[in-house]
Amino acid sequence: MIDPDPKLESTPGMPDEAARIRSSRIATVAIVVASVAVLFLVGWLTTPQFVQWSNLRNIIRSGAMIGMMALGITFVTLSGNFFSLSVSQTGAFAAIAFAFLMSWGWPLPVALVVVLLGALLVGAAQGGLVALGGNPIVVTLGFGAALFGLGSILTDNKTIRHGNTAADWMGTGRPLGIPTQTWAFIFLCVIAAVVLTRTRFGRNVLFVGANKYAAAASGIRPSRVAVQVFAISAMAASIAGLFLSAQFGEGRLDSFAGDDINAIAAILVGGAALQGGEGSALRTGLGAVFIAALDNLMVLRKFSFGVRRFWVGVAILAAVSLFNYLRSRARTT
Amino acid sequence: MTDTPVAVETPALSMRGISKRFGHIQALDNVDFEVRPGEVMALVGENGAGKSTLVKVLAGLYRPDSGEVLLNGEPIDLGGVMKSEHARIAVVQQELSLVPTLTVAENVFLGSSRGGAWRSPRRLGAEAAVHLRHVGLEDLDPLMTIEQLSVAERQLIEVARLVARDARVLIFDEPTAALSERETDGVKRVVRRLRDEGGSIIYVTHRLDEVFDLADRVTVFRDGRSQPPVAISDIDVDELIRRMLGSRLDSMYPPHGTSRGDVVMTLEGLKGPGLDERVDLAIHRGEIVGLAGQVGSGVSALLRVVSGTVPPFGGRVLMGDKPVPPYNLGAAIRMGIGYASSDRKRDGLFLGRKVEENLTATSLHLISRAGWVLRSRERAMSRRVAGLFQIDPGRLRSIAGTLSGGNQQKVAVGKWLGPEPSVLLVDEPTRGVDVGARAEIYGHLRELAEGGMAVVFASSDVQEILGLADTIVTFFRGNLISSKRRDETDTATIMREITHPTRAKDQK
Repeated sequence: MIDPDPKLESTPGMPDEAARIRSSRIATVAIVVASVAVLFLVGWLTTPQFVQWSNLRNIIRSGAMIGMMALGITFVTLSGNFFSLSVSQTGAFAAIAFAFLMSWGWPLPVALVVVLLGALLVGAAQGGLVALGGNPIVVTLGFGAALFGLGSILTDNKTIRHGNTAADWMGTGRPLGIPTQTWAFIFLCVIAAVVLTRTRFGRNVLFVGANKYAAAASGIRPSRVAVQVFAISAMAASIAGLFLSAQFGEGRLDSFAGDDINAIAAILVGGAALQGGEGSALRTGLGAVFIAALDNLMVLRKFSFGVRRFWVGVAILAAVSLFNYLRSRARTT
Repeated sequence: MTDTPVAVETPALSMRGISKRFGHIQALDNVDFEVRPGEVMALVGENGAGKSTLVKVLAGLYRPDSGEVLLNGEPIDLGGVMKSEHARIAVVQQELSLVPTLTVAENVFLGSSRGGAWRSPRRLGAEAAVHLRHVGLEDLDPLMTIEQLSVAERQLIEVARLVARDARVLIFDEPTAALSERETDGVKRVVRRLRDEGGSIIYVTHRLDEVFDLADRVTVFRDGRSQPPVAISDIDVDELIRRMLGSRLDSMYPPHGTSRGDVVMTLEGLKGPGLDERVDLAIHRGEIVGLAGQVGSGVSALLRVVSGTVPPFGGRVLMGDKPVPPYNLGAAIRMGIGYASSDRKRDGLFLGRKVEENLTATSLHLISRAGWVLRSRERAMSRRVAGLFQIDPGRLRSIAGTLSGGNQQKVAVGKWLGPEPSVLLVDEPTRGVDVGARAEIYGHLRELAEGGMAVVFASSDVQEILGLADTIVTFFRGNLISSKRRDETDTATIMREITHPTRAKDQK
């Protein structure tokens, strides 16, 4: 009789369970890449103008806006704090603040720094409330409403045009034929990926997301991480706001209306674990490209707003179900 | 085996030639197993020996590749949870499956297909009381909600629920792992009572004292294979351990330490949640200090205060002559204190992350420069720690949650070696760890002490305290009772001191 010693046999190869989890992670990446590829293929086959360079440039520009917001929220999600629901308001508020500062003739670098610092404070305040035990969804929802109200009061619900040309290159420049927004997005994507995988801070974020109690027991402070990730999220949103403001030379309260859901969709399509501790900045980036391309394709097909929103919803639900299924299959049997 | 004095009785449950394979791991290899009516059959073996797989086969969660299961001599099909329940085989879940916000009575009848019609809470309570009496909870108000109860009581209610469904074969899978000595007695009482009423009990445990205390016969599993059952009267602890380990191991505990260095840590009048009286204690380099006490005695509480996990009410901790900032885990770690809690799943491990990352989680400041994690240093440190604790280096890239209990515990303790603490605090170093890995962990803790580290561990297992500790400190209900050298005390003394010391104030 063959006499398999389970201990001996299991050592040379990778243990079954570990192999299964690894393959599920590879599958997650493959699914994200394949979804983007399939979407572009469908667009190419059905809608000729979809793949024209001018249209692709539109996609990457709007993908960049969603993507920058999504990258910020990715830190929040990975740290186990779900989402920030105030990014669209934060972005719009940053755009308005920037428009005011530029219309007062402040130098561009100063205006940029002031807006970013302001965003940092707004984000840190939200993180602080979460650290004190606030529910992230509720805290950010409240902040979003407050920011929106404040913006409405400050602008009297009017569009703020600044007429200052100093920031034009930032909004409409195309170094090497690619919009500045897209450069910024790619740049931030790489930075976020490096920070998450290679730095102590990134490790802290993932540890707190993976197990808050174990992180605290290891000397990592979950409350500090909460403040940091919400600050990052607000700053990323305000960067998107700055670019939008520079592009149109104005600040408007409804600049990013509805982009919260798109940014969150990007993260979910990118396969980040909702409970935290697992996910990647690059996958979120791909998720953003997917959502932007999907929306663009539907616009070209003359789908109404309602129909477009419907399919974004479907994309979220499909992504969540699929990735949850993969994870549960990897963990059990 | 040969020892079957009475006439051959039809077993309540018997399993013949059960095999189950997962990929290239043969989890069960042609296993035979049986339990008679009115009998407690203990099932023991190291982690990975196949106990859990067998339990899952009985629960209908796994379908065996081959073999048959007989209930009262009739072949049955265990496919699916419902069928297994209809066959009157029930597993008392390790992870409790009660609904915390419902009442005791509602939980007793939870998922029960009987009755159906609406009943008043009072009537349901009266019906539940019958079943509660079976498990020794007659004094419990059936209208209390589960969340008001202790873990031990919840477990007994789980049993009551299974009894309410006429379970004839009850499987207890590590029922006392999370319980104190006194609560354990409650569970044992219930097991005996169920047996005396003709029930068949399968009792899976790591605690060998329970086997001898409770079981009529014992079946040993090793490497997925079963050994013939033995009557408890025909075997002793040493023989049982030998059968569990095969030829692998003879003695469980490493030799005691010989040298004792300078004082490295001093506790001065330390007081905190769970500690009634101020604690003064000096910890020496190179010694292993065992804090002996039951759940709630203050041993775990003391470790939590010293480690900075909870705020002290008073007093201070000194490392050398420097006071450690209270309630500050980060500062404690930097000053050379490592603390592995007793609940590794809750706050010891990142189960979803790699072993490598777990092992360096407490040493991020050592493996990074200017905020950058240096891969080479990370790899070197995790390899070094894995080497110290004999964690398979091939599994450093595996997800921590896929390791066995013993290996997880090695990671949970091992991760404190990175920062090279001068004092390592370990709460229940071998909870949920099988015999083989246990001996290994003891050996490693001793090596650390030999290397000059002070190891302070808390345990409710007197054998473990006597086997491992050089200095033994006993606790009872939040009070330090005594602090003695290993050779100044014995089992009976420690037992008395941690259960009902004469010195303990006039309480109770």
